[in-house]
Amino acid sequence: MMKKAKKLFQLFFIFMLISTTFMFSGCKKNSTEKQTITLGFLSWYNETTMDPVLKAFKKKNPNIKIDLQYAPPIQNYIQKFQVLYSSNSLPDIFVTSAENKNDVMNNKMAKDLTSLPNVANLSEANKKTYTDDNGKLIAFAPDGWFAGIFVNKTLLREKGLNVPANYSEYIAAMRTLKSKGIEPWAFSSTNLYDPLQGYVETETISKDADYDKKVDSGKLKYKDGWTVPIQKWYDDYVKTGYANKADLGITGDQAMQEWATGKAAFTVGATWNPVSVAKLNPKLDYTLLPWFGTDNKTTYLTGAAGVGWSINSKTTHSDEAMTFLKYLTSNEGIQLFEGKANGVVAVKGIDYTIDAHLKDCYPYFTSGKIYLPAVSWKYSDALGDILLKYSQNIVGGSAKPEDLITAMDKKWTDLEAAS
Amino acid sequence: MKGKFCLKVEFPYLLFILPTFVAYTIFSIYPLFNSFLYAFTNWNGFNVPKFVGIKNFRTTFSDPVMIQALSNTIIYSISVPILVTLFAIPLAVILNSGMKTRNLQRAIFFFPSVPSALIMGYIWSYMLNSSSTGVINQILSFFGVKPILWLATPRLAMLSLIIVSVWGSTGWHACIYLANIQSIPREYYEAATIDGATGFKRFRYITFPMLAPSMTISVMLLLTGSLKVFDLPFSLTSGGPGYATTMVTQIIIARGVTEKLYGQATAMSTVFFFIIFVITALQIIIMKKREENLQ
Amino acid sequence: MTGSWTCGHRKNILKAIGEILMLALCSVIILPFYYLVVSTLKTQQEVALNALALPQKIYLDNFVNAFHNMEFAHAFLNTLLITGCTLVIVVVFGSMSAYAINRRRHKFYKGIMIYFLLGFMVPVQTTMVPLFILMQRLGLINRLYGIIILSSGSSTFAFFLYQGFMSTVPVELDESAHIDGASVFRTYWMIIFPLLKPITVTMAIFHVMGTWNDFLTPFLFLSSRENSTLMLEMYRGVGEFVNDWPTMMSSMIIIIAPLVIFYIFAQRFIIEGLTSGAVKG
Repeated sequence: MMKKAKKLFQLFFIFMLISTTFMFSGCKKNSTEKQTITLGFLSWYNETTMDPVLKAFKKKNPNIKIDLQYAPPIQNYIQKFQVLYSSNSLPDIFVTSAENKNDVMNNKMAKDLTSLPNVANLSEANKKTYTDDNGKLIAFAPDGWFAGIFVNKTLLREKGLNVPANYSEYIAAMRTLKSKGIEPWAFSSTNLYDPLQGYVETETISKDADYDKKVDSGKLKYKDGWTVPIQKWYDDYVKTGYANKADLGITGDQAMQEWATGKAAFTVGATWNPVSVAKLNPKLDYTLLPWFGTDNKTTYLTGAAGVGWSINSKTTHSDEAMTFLKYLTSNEGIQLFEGKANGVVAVKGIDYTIDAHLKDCYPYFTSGKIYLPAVSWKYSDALGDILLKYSQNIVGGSAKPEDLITAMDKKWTDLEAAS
Repeated sequence: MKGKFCLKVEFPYLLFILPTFVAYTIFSIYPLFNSFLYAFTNWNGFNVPKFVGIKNFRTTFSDPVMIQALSNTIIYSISVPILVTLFAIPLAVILNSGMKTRNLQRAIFFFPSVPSALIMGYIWSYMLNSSSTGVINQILSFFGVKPILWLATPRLAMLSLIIVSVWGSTGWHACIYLANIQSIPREYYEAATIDGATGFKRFRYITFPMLAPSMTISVMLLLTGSLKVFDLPFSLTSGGPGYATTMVTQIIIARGVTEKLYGQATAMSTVFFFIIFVITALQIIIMKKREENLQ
Repeated sequence: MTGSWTCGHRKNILKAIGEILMLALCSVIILPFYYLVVSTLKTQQEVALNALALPQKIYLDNFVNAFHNMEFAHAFLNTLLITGCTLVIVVVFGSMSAYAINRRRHKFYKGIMIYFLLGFMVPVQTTMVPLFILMQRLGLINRLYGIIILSSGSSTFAFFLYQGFMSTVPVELDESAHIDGASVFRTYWMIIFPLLKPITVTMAIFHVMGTWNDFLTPFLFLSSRENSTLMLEMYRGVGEFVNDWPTMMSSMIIIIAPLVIFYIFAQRFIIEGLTSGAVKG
């Protein structure tokens, strides 16, 4: 027995030895290539998605090597980003998202990208999202997304209803469906607050586009702009039972499944869903509706710019980094990228067709009539967490609508005091 | 035996400890110490830290969400170790018996601990779907039970979390007990059988006392693991509904990574560390004494 | 004498019932895995319709996609290398310290044990940044050997496992070896360690399972694709808005498969070790 164990140990050590020599020999090879410049790239998208655009770039610029480091979105990416920054090892190129853009701006981590040629064609929303207070564009985001209400047209037709075109029709449709035994909505535990957001958009933001800026500068409170929307959300969705306790135990995928298989008429739908819906129920006849305002006229969509690419302000290879970004943000580069990434393109002049089910709402996106708290709020993560948790508690019955607003205002005050 | 410390005699034994000691000090203790220092600053991950005294520690106790997370963590850390130990010991005894399908059983019971919490959280959240189409609810409907809102209410969500945790850990801990059982000399059992002891008596007077060392380890791991738990609540319920299954580590992450209050996060970790330390130290002292008494 | 025949017969029936009960319990335990495997072999439509049903037609696209997206061969070798080397390190370091602390009664050693305990109290997220900076200073970032060296710091787990069972090896063996003139080193490796086989195999199982499936450490400290591990490959299915669950579940199965083989092999090893090493003089 001992001899066997000894033999095993010997085998292990030999194996280790051989493998480590291979590892080291691999290392030596790289160091002889001194003429190529290597750019570090912390990417939000994985190698498969970035491959076409990176390959094409390599062909045009053989002396620039891109060393891609992938960190899965969202939390893992932010974690890695923070760790790398804290240890002063942030790569030359990185991705800026709504979650870290304030940090990037406040700590001047990115170079100004306004000189890139395609900035002129970039949508207003995408430009505004990533422009800091000094007018510098810190990230170029080629795409975006939007979300609203997915409606199962077949189901409505069967029950003798038209697709609602305004608030009154929408409320009536839900009531009719409920009376005929159909669940109007398929909610999940994480999108209960989407209609609330919708009301904030139609009742508050549409009247005052600078509302959030005013809150963040201390002039207004969340109570001012959210009291009416939250009461409406509570009356229209929670009191009626369309959003109920059972939804708290459902995940986003499950809710989408329920809706796509015809068990509910409405669900929260976004630009990344058509791919999954096609897999679940290819023949489904559906479309995207905006959030309806109570005045029967105003409509709005939830949405935002996607993530953007930034150049590290401390990079030692700014020329090469600029060259890379010039290609990434060129028409050719964007086309190659979006071929894999499937975002909604926000740059004019690119050959792009939007999914048929999203067509009707596309104009909202191009004209910038989209809104997302994470982009407009100073303390988006903390407040977003409160929004999620309290919406769950309200539906579950352990909190009142006013509690959400009180909690938001309190959190804002606390975070202001701490900074 | 507690006499003088003679370096010449102890030297080889000290060398035995040295590798672990050095590696552990460099890679575990040094970063830990470093992070404690941040607890006294207002570091947010990006700025230059400024000394703020004990302000961060005071905020730890005034945060109502933190209080809830603490109570959640305590409930969880009491339930899981008790339940797992209760199931793992008999399981180990059964798995040690001469059943024909013994190896298959061992593999099956062990494997819940293998896949990542991310995947298991996803699978379980699917199975515990509150609607009537959820897998578990479907099975229950065969017995005429109405759909249960597993992850939807605070109490049931915590219960689901505990059940999934016990499901995932029992087999793993049974392995620790199994290893212990397999090293109990056969002569003890043979002597007991000769004296006419039945199966249960054999368990109570030989097996169970001899399991003391593995109990100490297993309970310590369960205790510290439950207090530090993060992955499973995160992937199964995201701490929901509301804050019903939010644990302390999640708050620490939220404060540290999301809200960038890194100084506050490390202050919380420090306080939490002392809590865990006190609990675990008590547990180990009590159980080690028991070990010695039983030897 | 006739009584013993009926006794044996009853015993067999009880045994059979016990075995059937256990198998029933096993099928309950295994349910999530059944669901996992079955879902990867169905189209998304089928899964939505009936979660537990067997697939009507075996749908292999998910596995094909998973293989296609993962750089399986390379990641497998990396994971194997890391797991193997770290296993040797923690077993050697951990068991040696456990031996010393178990055999020596002085208070100093108890103090070391408490010191080793501290590391268990802290959630890993607390020390992420300082640890990263340390690894950076030591030049261990994005190197496989960096991860291997880092793991030596966690040999305290092996230490705890071993120290509990160290008492099962009688001190008399140490003493007789010393009388024969053997050094502490020789005594431990030639005599004591071989008798700890069940513990070593158990430790190996725990360590392999844990390291094979570890995401956080490789995620923080490895960045190039060529250094990727199997878990890192699986996480590539994580999306910003939706996770590619079918591919990820398939990847998980691919990743677990070698572990199943390892586990069966390790179990046989324990049994072998027991039957030959149990004859303790």
